[in-house]
Amino acid sequence: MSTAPEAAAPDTASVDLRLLRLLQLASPALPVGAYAYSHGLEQVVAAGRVHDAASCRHWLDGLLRRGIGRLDLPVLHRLQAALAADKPAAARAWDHWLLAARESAELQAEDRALGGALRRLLPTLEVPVELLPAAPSQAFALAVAGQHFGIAPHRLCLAYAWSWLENQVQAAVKLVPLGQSQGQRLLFELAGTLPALARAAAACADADIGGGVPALALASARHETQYVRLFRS
Amino acid sequence: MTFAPALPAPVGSTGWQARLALDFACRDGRTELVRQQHQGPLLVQRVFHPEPAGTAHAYLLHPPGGMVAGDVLAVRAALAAGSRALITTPAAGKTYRRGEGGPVHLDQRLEVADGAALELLPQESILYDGAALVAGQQVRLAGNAAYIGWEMISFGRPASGERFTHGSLRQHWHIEREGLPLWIERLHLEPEAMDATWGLDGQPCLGTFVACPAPADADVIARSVLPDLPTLGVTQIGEVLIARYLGPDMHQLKALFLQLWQALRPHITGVPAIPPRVWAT
Repeated sequence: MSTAPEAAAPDTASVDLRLLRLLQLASPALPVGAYAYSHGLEQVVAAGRVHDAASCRHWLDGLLRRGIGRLDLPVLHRLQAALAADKPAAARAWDHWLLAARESAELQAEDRALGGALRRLLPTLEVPVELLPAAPSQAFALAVAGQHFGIAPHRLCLAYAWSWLENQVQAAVKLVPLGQSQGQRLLFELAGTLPALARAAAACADADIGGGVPALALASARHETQYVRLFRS
Repeated sequence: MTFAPALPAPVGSTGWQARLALDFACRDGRTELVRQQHQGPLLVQRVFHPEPAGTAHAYLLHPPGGMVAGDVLAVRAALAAGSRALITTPAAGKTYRRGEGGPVHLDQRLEVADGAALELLPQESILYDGAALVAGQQVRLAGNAAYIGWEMISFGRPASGERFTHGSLRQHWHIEREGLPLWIERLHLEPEAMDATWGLDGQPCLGTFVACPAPADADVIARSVLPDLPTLGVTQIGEVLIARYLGPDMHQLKALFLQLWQALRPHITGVPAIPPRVWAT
């Protein structure tokens, strides 16, 4: 499917720069160590529940639509809104909330490790980090960076979901395993679902925030005692 | 003395409005139900004291025996400093098919003072095909208060071959200590999740067991008393021990959680596990 070309009018230099900052934040080369985490995928592959491109697509699509899209993205919106309104206490409260909502020790450790690594990196990118605790959620650290670079909230949500998805596909290439082209095809297809997810997350009411992926909670808990492990989650 | 928070005004609804507020406090080494307010068909008749530690065992009675569309059940419980209460139900909770009245709302708010221990261990909850349930549980712990809770849910009635093909569950479970969230579960399940690998994966029974403050090795203890089953997982996030079951059999789920409760209770509340008599019937 092709999409309509972007407007031909040249963007201003500041708009161009915002895009580049966002690409840098979403890059798999960002040194936060995301490659060490499979987010439960290693366990569901070991258990035989994910075994080829189709079953992997089904698993990741569910996690995106019923996990990240309903929990992380609505909270990321609220974190950005709190920062934009200069309400740091509200932002910290959402950060606590999101970390408390992690389903297992490994999933919380993953979030804190990535958030903490991003926090340590941000001063190098001239982003002030005084608001951030030492091990914030990844969403909080990213929201602070997005706020500093002036990135639109829904774009930052897209970048968050994209980074997660790209990392999962890289893990799937190793674990399932998938060929590199199969992985890229999967990324291409699932990326097509992200714009609608990010928009729905922006409109999500407080009472509607909530994931629905109990198999992830179980898989992640079982991963903690999995006999052979390449990944930390 | 702290009283259970005032009961909220009833919301506009077509179903039963049942509201119950319980205050527990320690009197001469025994925990008593010192105050009970109830409106509608929901009450505790009396408390039992089967334990040397004086724990009050309270059975939540809901005479209608099941919940239908639009019903609202609100439970408030407050435990004063040093008191111990175990709240359970005499039978499985049933939520029937949703009708015109909207979802069933079950709203439980629990306040546990420093040095007190609350266990909320209801029997299983059966969601009939088409049921819509919104179950909220808010637990506010002060100081070193202890809490053990579980939820065991059957989607449809697998024993009689009834599957859950429409309806929904929202389970909102918040535990906080001194105002900071310790553990939050926001589970929203719809029929799409029933057979999805990421959802219930074709398994009709879902169990969640939570206990805090758990000692650092509580997950090791839990794993040592539980069999290693693909349907069962244990994790510990800081002081919160969580066990989850996603499998085919409610009897198995109940037996596993009972086993886990018996092993963990001394480490969480400091006293041995003595099951409420009503579980044996």
